[in-house]
Amino acid sequence: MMNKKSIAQLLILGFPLWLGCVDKVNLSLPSGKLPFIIEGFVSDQAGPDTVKISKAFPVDGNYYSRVGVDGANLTITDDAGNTDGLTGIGKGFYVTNTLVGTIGRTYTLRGTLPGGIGIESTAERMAPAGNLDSIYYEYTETENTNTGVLEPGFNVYVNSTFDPSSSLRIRWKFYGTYKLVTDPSLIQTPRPLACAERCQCCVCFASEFETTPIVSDTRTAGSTSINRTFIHFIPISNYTFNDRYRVEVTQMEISQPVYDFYFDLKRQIINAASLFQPPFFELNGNVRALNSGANVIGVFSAAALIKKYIYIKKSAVPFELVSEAIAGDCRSVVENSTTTVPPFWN
Amino acid sequence: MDLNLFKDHEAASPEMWYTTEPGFGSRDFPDAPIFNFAIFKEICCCLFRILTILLILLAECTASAQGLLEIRMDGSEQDKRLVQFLQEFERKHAVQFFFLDEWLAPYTIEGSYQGQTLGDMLTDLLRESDLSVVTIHDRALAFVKDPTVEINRRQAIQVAARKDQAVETATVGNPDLFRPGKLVTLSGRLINEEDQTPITGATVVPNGHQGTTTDREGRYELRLPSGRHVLTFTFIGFKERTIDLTLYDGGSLNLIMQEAPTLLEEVVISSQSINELTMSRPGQLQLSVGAMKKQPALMGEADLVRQLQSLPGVNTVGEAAAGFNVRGGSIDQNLVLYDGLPLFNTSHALGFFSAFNSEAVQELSFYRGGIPAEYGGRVSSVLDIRSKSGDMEKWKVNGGIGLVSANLMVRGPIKKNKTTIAVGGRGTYANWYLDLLKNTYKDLSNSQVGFYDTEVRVDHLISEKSRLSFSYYRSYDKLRVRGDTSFQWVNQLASVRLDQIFSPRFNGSVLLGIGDYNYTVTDQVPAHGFDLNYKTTYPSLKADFSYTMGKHRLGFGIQSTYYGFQPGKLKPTSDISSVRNVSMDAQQALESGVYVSDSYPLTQKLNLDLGLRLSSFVNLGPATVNVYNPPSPVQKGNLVDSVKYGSGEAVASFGGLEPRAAIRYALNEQSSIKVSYHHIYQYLHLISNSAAVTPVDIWQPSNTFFKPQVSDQISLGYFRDFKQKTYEAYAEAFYKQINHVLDFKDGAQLILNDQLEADLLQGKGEAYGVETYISKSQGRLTWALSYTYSRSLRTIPGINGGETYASNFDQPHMLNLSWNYRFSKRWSFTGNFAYRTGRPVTVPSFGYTMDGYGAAYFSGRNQLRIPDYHRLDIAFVIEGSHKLKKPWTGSWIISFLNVYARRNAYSFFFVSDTPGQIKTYQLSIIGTIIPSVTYSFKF
Repeated sequence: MMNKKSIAQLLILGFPLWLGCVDKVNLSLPSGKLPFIIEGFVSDQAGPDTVKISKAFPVDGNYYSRVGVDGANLTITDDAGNTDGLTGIGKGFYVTNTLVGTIGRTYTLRGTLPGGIGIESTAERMAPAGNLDSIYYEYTETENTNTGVLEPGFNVYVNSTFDPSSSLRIRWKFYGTYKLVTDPSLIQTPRPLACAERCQCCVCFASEFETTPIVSDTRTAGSTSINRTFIHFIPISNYTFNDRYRVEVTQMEISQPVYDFYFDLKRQIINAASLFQPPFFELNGNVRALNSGANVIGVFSAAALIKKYIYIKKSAVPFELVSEAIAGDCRSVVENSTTTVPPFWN
Repeated sequence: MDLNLFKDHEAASPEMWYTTEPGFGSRDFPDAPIFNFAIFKEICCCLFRILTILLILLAECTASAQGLLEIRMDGSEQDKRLVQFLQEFERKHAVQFFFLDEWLAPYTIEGSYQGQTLGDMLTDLLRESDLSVVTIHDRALAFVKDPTVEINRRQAIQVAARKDQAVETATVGNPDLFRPGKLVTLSGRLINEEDQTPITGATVVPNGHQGTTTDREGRYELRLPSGRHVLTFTFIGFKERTIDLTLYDGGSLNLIMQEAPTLLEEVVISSQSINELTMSRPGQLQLSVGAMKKQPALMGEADLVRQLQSLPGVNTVGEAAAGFNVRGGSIDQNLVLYDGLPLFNTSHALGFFSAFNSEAVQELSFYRGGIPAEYGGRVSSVLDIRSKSGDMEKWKVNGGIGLVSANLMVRGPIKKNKTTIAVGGRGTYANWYLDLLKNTYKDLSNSQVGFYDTEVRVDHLISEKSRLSFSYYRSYDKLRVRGDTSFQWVNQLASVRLDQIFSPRFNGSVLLGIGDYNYTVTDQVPAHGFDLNYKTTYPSLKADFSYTMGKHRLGFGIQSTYYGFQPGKLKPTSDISSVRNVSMDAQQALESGVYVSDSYPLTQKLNLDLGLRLSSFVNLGPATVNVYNPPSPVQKGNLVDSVKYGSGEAVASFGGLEPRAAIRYALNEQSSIKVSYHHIYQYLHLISNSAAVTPVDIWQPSNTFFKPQVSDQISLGYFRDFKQKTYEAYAEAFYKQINHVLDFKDGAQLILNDQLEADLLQGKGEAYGVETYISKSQGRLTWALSYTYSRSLRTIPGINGGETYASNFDQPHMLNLSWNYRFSKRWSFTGNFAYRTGRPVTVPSFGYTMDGYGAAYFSGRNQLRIPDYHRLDIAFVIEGSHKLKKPWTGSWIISFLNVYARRNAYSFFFVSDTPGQIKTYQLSIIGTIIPSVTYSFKF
């Protein structure tokens, strides 16, 4: 039974618990014409390279339900006069036929979208990717922003070095893969899973990617090296460390307009939840519409790639994971997981 | 023939009037309180005038009405007393004069009027008096006295009697020079008894009607007819003084004003926080610190800046926003002075608390229009804060303890009536509150906050006419966000000031001071540890003088400030840090101003305050200035060259004349019309790309690329008081235009940006609105209600497609209601209700993906608004016993902020907590009711 003193203490000390509030709001936004979205990338790796065209979606829409745009005519031309006409393969994807990206060459995307809208990118020079010297990880405990609970995990970092001629406008991409093991036989209601028989859906491979662009900060980077770049946080759980976790990092040097786009996009994603309410702004990209009044947002990039990977073993986890079976079809327990073993998994 | 009326002797009670001489009236008239002799006498005067008029009507006009007055003097009138001359004249010319002996007795004909007419002579003698003549056909002349002054004087006595105020008596001038009704000048100074400092903005009212206010030196001046007057001297927080004055001739009347305690029997107290609207200078508000301290406050911490935000025309972008916005201006457009030196940061803890210890503040003057010429450098407003000095007689301690902070102020004499010291401090222990904060907002959780401010002031009276003051102020903040990044910022001011009275009409002051503002951002993780520093240091010299020449109150002075900016220095803090050294070029500038001003009552009704300021600003080397490829716009890709300037070399120069005007026209004793205008240049700009000021925003001087902001503001208002100033009201409209206002390009970076000019754009700002206000300042219940409609717009090429858009602080409708109800001498209930239109925000129109990332597409800037803001705060004030001789006085303030737990949106943010979807959330800083308790004490 609480006495007066403890009630008083609770009232005095407890009220700050409810001071700040976060509430969902429904905005009444003006409607308008949805712009075309163009994503194009040419690398020095074996092709084909891909250009994707889609439409933007309303704010309360779902960006997984992307609407591809077919029927565009696209070409990529290099500074040696070579031109590759891209082939549409449906759902807004267009692939190169003969083009192989070469370091030192400059590439330009041009084309016509449905409705006669002409587009053109800036000329993108393919620069060397530099050296990805090492990928390493450190154990940490980080607060989950949604639940407020401390989560154990690994922070992944890279160290990189570059030629003195490098602009140090570097972008990294993270690709994480882990083996997911579930027990579909534990599902009995409403009915047992058919795939439980003969373990057809109990071993999957799930993938993770970075959620915000990872780019260097040219204001503070060193002259020929960039060390301890934070890449990703891997939460430790029965899901991710049933076996081991594969970390693959891709590094590339990008042009100024492409760097500006991804740097600003990163700020946009971070600032969207900032206390100081910085003003939001349009992201420009480097693809423009040639017709006045047409609305196009696009990023076309030409970059050499360098990749490196490591495996983080289960034994690297500094505590014993509670062995608890995961019920369900492994293909649906984690989105975009597959029973197909990736070719790089060994 | 002369008429002798009785000579009346006024006392504290009109019932005590009585007769002393035979004449009109009766010696036998009793001292009966049931009969008002004053009214009887006035009736008699009126009857006399009526009789005179009847005589005129009945008389046969046989000659020109000017005949008597055309009689020429022969020179024999010289050196005769006027009464004697008129009696001789009557006999000589067989004419008649009607007058009261006491009216004309003091007059002597001092010169020769030979050859001039009687009319010329009388005109000359009675000039500037309240006497006039009425001709009665061509053989008689009646002297008539304007009774207005006397009527007003008696009313003022009655008002004082109703308030149970003692009426003191005083005499000014040489009785030998007494000319009844002659206009003379009465001047003087009001001094605070406690520390001998002048009282600014006090009201001096003669006979209850149309007065004046004291200037910065506590001086006032009135033109009054010689004779009897009742003067009332009032100022918020001080005991009102009523003087029954016998004014023989021009002279001075200086008064010592005492602070007003709550007397035992007194229940009715004015809690007005704004002093005398009708008579104050246009655009100026003199604010009461005492009244502000009794308003509900966040966590019990009296916040002077937050109280300012409740005034008409003043707003803020949100509860966690530093600074304030005045009439559509940004926060860097407010000049905030502390003991004469500018402050760059006016708040603690990101705007939750003001940077001023309310116990250390003596007075606040706030100008939001018609800014006087002595101020320059900011286009929207001036907040001039004067600190308290020590008590000349005894030691005093003031303090307060609240839930998150405590403050203490100790003041007293080092040497009695010669040297005093005042030392104050305030600090917070708010971390326990943040530790308890349960919030999904990760920037606030696991954070730490600390701040303190301290003030020291030493005053030394060199002589009766010389005072030397030393003032020091330091404000410190530390904020750690999410455990690995900390912010620290410091304001420091130090000054020495000499005040000198050269003569009763000429005084001046010289101030030498230095200010410093700096911040540091620290990343404590060794692998990428860094310190990012910003600093500005600014020594200043000011000299201000005031000279009274006849009716003119002249002001003139000169000011100069040298600014040294270090706009950004980044250095790694460990051997393994991946951060490299970056140092932005230092910047230097010299800002100066010289001004003249004149406060001049053109007529009794029309008062002019005119000024002219000449300001200049020079951006000095050493400097490296980027050169962009003309005629292309200034963009990063267009940089082609740079130009170097040597040390002290002028990189860019600006300047211009700044006319100022503030005009008050008294329609009558209760109402006035005020017009104000100012033209001001602003040479320093706060560079911020967020709606709320952040700890890492920087101040940028004007240079080759950033032209000074230039503002013109005009305002027109009607002011009125009712029922002898029980109610005051006004309506004031304003229009402001600002050229070269700064704003950021979309996506601009301000930190360590050596091409800042490529990320900033300049354009036009426009603000206009109407402010209305009404208050009741006497009685148990006092209140103030204000409503403002205003707009603040920007048009900047390159932003929002060049189309006009609302500024971040555009809030068209603002309403504020505050009240104070006194249950008894010790208990009162205060409160405040505020309503504001939601401020504009930029929100996404569409979403899209780019290489797997979700992105938002934003259309026009500030096209949407967050929900409207409204909040109710209340407080109960329990004051200790007000016995005059009680050694210790304390008071409790129990306040409840946000009584109905309104979740006012501070900002919108966007998260993707459901895969593939963007959802919008609003953050409320204060989303529930907040009780708090503060105890203040004084001994």
